[in-house]
Amino acid sequence: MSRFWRWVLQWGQPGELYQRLVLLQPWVAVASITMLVAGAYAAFWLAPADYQQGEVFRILYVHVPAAWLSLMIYGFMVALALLVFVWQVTVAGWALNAFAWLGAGYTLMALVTGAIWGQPTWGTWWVWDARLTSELVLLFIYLGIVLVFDALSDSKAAARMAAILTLVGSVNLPIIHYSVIWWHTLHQPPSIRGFDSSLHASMLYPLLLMALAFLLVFVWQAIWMLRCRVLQEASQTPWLARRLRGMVENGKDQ
Amino acid sequence: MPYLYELFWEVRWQWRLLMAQPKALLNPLLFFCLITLLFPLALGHAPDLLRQAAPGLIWVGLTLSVFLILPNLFMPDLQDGTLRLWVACRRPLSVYVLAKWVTHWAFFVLPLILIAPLLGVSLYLDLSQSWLMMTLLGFGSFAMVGIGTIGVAVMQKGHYNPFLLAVLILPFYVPILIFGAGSLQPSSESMAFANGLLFLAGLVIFTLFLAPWAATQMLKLTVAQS
Repeated sequence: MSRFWRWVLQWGQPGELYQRLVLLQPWVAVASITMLVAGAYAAFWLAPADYQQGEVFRILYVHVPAAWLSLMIYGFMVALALLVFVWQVTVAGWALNAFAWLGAGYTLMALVTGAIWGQPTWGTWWVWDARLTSELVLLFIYLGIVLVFDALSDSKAAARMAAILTLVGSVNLPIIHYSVIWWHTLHQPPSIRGFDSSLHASMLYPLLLMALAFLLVFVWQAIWMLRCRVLQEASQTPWLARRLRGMVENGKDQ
Repeated sequence: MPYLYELFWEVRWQWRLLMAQPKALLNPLLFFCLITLLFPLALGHAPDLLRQAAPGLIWVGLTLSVFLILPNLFMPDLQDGTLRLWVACRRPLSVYVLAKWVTHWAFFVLPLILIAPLLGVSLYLDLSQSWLMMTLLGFGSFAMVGIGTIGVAVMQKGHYNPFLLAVLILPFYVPILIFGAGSLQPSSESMAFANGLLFLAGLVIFTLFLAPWAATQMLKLTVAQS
């Protein structure tokens, strides 16, 4: 077995995974805080106000990254579900649980910021628009996956069930999305005005910065949740005992 | 072909099991009638409003009835051990899922669709639309039961959680409701019916491929931990 494959497979061992997460965490934390500060400064001070919407458009810099991330997390979850279902990787099931919670959170964030943005610009909190409806359905699918993890006491079976559900959802999501678009075009004129032209560069680069910052914050949160989960599951394992003994002898963390 | 042969015998067997207790049909039938007749009482007797809302109300009533039928699919078999034998023996479990799906749809849901036009009359629905409505309801409810098999297969120790079932399967009913009720709206064009029917028929075929596989995997896990 080559060194590369050994390195890849070691991600599946809880002890090795924990070591790597601990090493990775400070770098991700520093990078995400830096990007978040830079992105927020660019978004809330440097970017010019919109000529139609004024200052209120700046909620875009929270709304759009959250919405992108809510879809991206589902993509990651499909990959994890394949790992759980086909190769039966236990660690991937733990990650799937953490990702489902985070995905539900970012979807909720996108919906709430969208509603706050909609009130002054469209004059209403909620429209039965295609994108809004499919985002709402996505939230319910995330919550269903979270509930499956909570409902079953056997965590391995719960992970496999959630993986099957994730895969079923992944093939159904396009259908739901296009059916909602069809419905929307049938029944009501488009109410999203959006941007008449594509974003100007002075408004676009803060958005990309914020999207990167959100992605890094998500990775940071996922690392935290996965670390806690590994410790929870490893209460009686030798590698944790060795690690704790090493900490006591050296008198320091890490 | 042996698969279809086995499926045929299993459908026959499940149908006989259902026919042993024909009175069980009354439960969903009464529920569907009552839940649909609650709407005129709650909305007031405004014919125009009811006529506008009638397709949607019938679809919601049918969805709720299907939702209450679903626990009947696997629960009794899990409790008396039949399901355990099915998982243990070498016959494909998807035969069992498909047979349950087809027979329960034909036994419990088809009568509901047959009386739907009657309920439509009470909601001032145009009777000339009955055939269209029944066709759409038929395809839609068949897909609904199929998607439902995935959700009800998630059980813990022989118990299922109705709230969990709702969160698991209702999001996947969104396209069915949109196309089923949308094509019946009085304001929609004539093309809408054909589009809705084609979409629902496609969804049925899609569910025929997806649901037996997913429900089989779920049932294996459910049986293993019960």
